[in-house]
Amino acid sequence: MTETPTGGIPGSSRGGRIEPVELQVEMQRSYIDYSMAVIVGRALPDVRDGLKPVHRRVLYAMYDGGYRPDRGFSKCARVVGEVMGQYHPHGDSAIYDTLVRLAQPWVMRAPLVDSQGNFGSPGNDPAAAMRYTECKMAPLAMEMVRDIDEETVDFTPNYDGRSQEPTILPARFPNLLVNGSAGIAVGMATNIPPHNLREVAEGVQWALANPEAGREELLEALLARVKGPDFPTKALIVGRQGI
Amino acid sequence: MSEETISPSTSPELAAVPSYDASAIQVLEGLEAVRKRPGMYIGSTGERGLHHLVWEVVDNSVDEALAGYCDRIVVTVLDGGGVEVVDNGRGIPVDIHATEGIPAVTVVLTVLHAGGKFGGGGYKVSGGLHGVGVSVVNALSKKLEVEIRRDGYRWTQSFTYGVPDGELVRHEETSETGTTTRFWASEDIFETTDYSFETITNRFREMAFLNKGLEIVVRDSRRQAAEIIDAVEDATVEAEDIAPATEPHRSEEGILERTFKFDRGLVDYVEHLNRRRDPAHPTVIDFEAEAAANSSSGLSLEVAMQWNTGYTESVHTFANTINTHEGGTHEEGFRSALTSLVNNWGEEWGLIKKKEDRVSGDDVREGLTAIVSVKLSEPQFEGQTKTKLGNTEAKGFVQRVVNDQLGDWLEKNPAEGKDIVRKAMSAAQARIAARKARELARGRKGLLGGGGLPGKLADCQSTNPEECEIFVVEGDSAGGSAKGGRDPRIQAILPIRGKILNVEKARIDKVLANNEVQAIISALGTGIHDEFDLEKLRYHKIVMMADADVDGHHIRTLLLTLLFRFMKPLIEAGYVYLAQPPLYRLRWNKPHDHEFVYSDAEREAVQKAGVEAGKKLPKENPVQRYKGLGEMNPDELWDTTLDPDNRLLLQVTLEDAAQADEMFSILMGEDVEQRRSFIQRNAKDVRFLDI
Repeated sequence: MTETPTGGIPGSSRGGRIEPVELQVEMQRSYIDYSMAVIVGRALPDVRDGLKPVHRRVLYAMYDGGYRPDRGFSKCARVVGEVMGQYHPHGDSAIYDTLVRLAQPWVMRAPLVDSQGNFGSPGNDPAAAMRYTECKMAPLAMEMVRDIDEETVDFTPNYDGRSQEPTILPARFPNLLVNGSAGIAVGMATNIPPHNLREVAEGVQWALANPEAGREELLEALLARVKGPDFPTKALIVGRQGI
Repeated sequence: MSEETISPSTSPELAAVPSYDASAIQVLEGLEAVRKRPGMYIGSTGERGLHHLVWEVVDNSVDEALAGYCDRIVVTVLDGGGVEVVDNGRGIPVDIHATEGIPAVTVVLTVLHAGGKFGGGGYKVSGGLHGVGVSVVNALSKKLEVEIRRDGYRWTQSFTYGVPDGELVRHEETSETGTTTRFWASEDIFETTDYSFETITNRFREMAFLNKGLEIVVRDSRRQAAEIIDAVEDATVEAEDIAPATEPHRSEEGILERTFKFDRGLVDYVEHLNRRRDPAHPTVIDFEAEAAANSSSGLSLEVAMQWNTGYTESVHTFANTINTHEGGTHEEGFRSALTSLVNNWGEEWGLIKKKEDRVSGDDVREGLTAIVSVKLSEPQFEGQTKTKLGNTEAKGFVQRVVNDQLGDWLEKNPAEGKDIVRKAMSAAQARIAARKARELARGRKGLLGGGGLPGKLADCQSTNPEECEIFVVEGDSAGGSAKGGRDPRIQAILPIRGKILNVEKARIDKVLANNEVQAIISALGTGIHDEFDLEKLRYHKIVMMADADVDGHHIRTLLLTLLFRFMKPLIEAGYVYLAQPPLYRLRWNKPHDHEFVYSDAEREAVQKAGVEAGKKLPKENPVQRYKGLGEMNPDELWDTTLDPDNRLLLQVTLEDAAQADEMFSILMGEDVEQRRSFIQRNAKDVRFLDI
C-alpha cells in the first residue's frame, strides 16, 4: 500500500514527515479552540431564544419530526435518535438528559416538553431509561417555533450537510428570562434565574408600547411589573435588595 | 623556612626574591584588615556584599527601633552609587569616649567590634550582632558622611575609606534626634555598586512586617529609576494589592518611593503571604510571649499563623529579625509543639480516634503559613550561611510558649481548631493514599514489561523501544479502528475513556488513583516524578491521537498537562507527538477514489481541482466531516494517519519550560480570572468553531 511515494490513496500523501510544534503553541491553540467552542457553542444560551444549541436542536427536531402537542406521546428514544442523527453529533446520554430537563416541572418554570412516564423527581432521582419514557412538545413550546417555516429565522446546514437547522428559534416569549439558564463554560459561566411568564409578558408589552423610553425609565417600568425571580420549586427570597 | 633565607650572606639572585621572613608577616590593624579581606566581614564583594552594607547600616537604626526609640527609617538610594539612611532614633553618642579619648561616634565608625551591643545597657536585643557594625561599612566606602542630631545640636563628620577627614563638627542647635548616614561604596573593592531596588524593597518590607509599627520608607532617586518608574509602577501595583500603604508612588521630584508600616506586624505579614490563597480558617492566629524578666536569655517570641487551602508549607523563622533560612532551635521547638498539640487536641475532641490516625508533622504543616520570630540577647548562628539559630534555650522556650498559647487558642476557637485538625487528617490520608498508589504503580512495572500492563493496552510485538510507537486514542470507538488498522509489530494502542483528570487541579493521590492516568503511566513504564527513568520508556514515540473535534483538542491539552507535570523529560527528549488525522473525506463518484483532506483550505483546493478534472461529487453527503476516529474504517485510518511512510506527525518540543509552566497554570489551574483574560486576549486566534 505504501510502495509509491505518494501513498496509497490520492490526496493523502504526506510522506511520513515529522514537523516540530512548540508545546506552548500547541497548548494555547488547542485550548483556545476548545474554550471558544464551549463558550460560543455549548454552555451559554443565546439571548434571543434563551436556548443552548443542544436545546434548540431537541426542540427543532421534535417539531420537525412531528412530535407535537396535538398528537400522542412517542418514545423518547425516537426523539433522541432523531436529534443525534440529524443535528447533534454527540453522545445519546447528553441529549436524553437535556430532553428530560426540558420536561421536568421543577427545573423549568415553564416546561417545553410534555412527559409521560418516570421523569425523575426533585429529590434527584433519575428518569427512567429512554426506552421506557415518552414525550411530546408542550403547547408552550409551539410558541418557540411558530412561523419557523415562514423564513423568520436563518438556517444553516447541519453537521454533515444533509439537512438544514435553524441558528435561532423564533421565540414568541422571552424564554431566557422565563426559564432562566445556568451553564459553566471555560473561564466564564452564566446563571440566570427564572421569572414569571405573565409578569415578563407585561413588561415586554410595556416596552413595545413605549419604544421611546430611556434605559432608566425602562428599568423602572420593568421593575414595577416583574417583581423578582419566580422559581419553579417555590422559594423564599431573603433580602430584596439584590433584585 | 630554608637555610638560605636566614643567612644574610646569600646570593644576589635570591635577594631579589621577596623573602619570607618576619618582615613578611603583617599585622593588619583594624579597618585595614576589612579592606584587605572584605569577604570575611560581609560575605562577598559582589552584589550580596554590597547590599550587606545597607543592611548593616539599617540594622543599627532598627536596633534603635527595637529598643523603642525610633519609629521611622528612610532609606534612599542616591544617584552615583550612594545610599542614605535616616532614622529618628537617639543618635549615636557624641561625647568623648572614656578609654579612646575621641568622640564615641568616631569610635563606632572607625574601631572594629565597637558598639553598644555587647551588654552594658545600650541595647537589650539587636539584629546587627552577626555583623561587625558600621565601621566595616566605613572601611569599604570611598566616602561616608554621618550627621547626628543629639544633645540639642546637629553634628557632622566625614570619612574616606574609614579615615576621618576631620574632627566631629558641632553645628546649629536642633531639638530633633536621630542619625543620618550617607555612604558611597568603593568601586575598587566591590565588583558592582549598582543597588537593586527590588532587593532593598523586599528586605525592608520584611523588616517592617517584623517590627510592628515601624515605618520604613524606601526611595530610589537614581536617574535611571525615573526612567523605568512607569514600568515598575505597573508591575508593583499589581503585585501589591493587600496593603495600600505599600503602593509605590512618585514623589514630586520624580523619585520612586514606597512606604512600609504595619501596625499588626506579623499578622499583616501572614495576610500578605496568603493574599493569593484561600484561607482554611478565618482568623490569623497570633501570640507573643517574653521570658521571665529575671532570666538572662532575654528571650521573646512572636508567632502569627494561618492555614490556607493550598498544599505547600511556608513557615518562615526569624531570630532578631534575621531570616533564619536554615531554621534552627526555634523552628524545632515550633514544629514539635505544633505536631503534638494538634494531635493531642484532636484526640481530646474525638477527631483522631485511633493511634494510627495521628498525623505527622508534614501533614499538620500542609498549607500552613507561619512566621516565627524570636528575639534573644545572645544569638548564636550556625550553618553554612550563618542562618541557623543555635541557642539551645530557644527550643524549650518556643515549645513551651506555642504549647500554652496555641493550646489556649484552640480551646477558645474549637470550630476553627476542628477545621485545622480535619485539614491535617485529610493531608495524612492523601499521603497514605499517594504512597499506596505509588507502590501500586511501581509494582506494575514488571521486568519484561508484560503482566502488569493495563488491560486496555493493545501492545505491539516488538520489545525494542526505539522502533515502538504508542497511540493514545480517545475512547473505545476510536480504539477499535486504531487496533484494526495498526501495524501490530511496532504500534501499540491505548484507548482512554473520555476526558482524563486535570492533574493541575487535583491532588497527587487523586491523580494516581485515577484509572486512566494509571493506565498511561504503567503503559509508558517510566514512572513519575522522582522515580522517573527515561531508560525504562517502552516506546520512543508517544503519539496522541485525539478526534479532530473540539473535545479532542481538550483531551489533548489534558494529556499534555499530565505529561508535562509528571513526565516532563519525555517532552524534553522529544518523544511526544501529535497525530494528524484527516478532517474531511471527499466522496467522488465512481470510478474515482475517495480523497482525504486535512484542513479547510486543502478541502477547497482539492475539491476545485477535482471538479476541473471532471470528477463529480454525489448530491447526497458529498463531503464527510470526520467527527471521530471511530467513523473511519481501519484501513482508512492506516492510510491517512498511522502509516509511518505516509503520515504527518507533529513533534512536541519544549523551548522555555518556565514559560510553559506558567501557561499550564493559567490554562489548567485554579485561577478563573487569569484564564478568562487569557481567552479574551486570544479569542481571535481560534482555528475553527465547531458546534
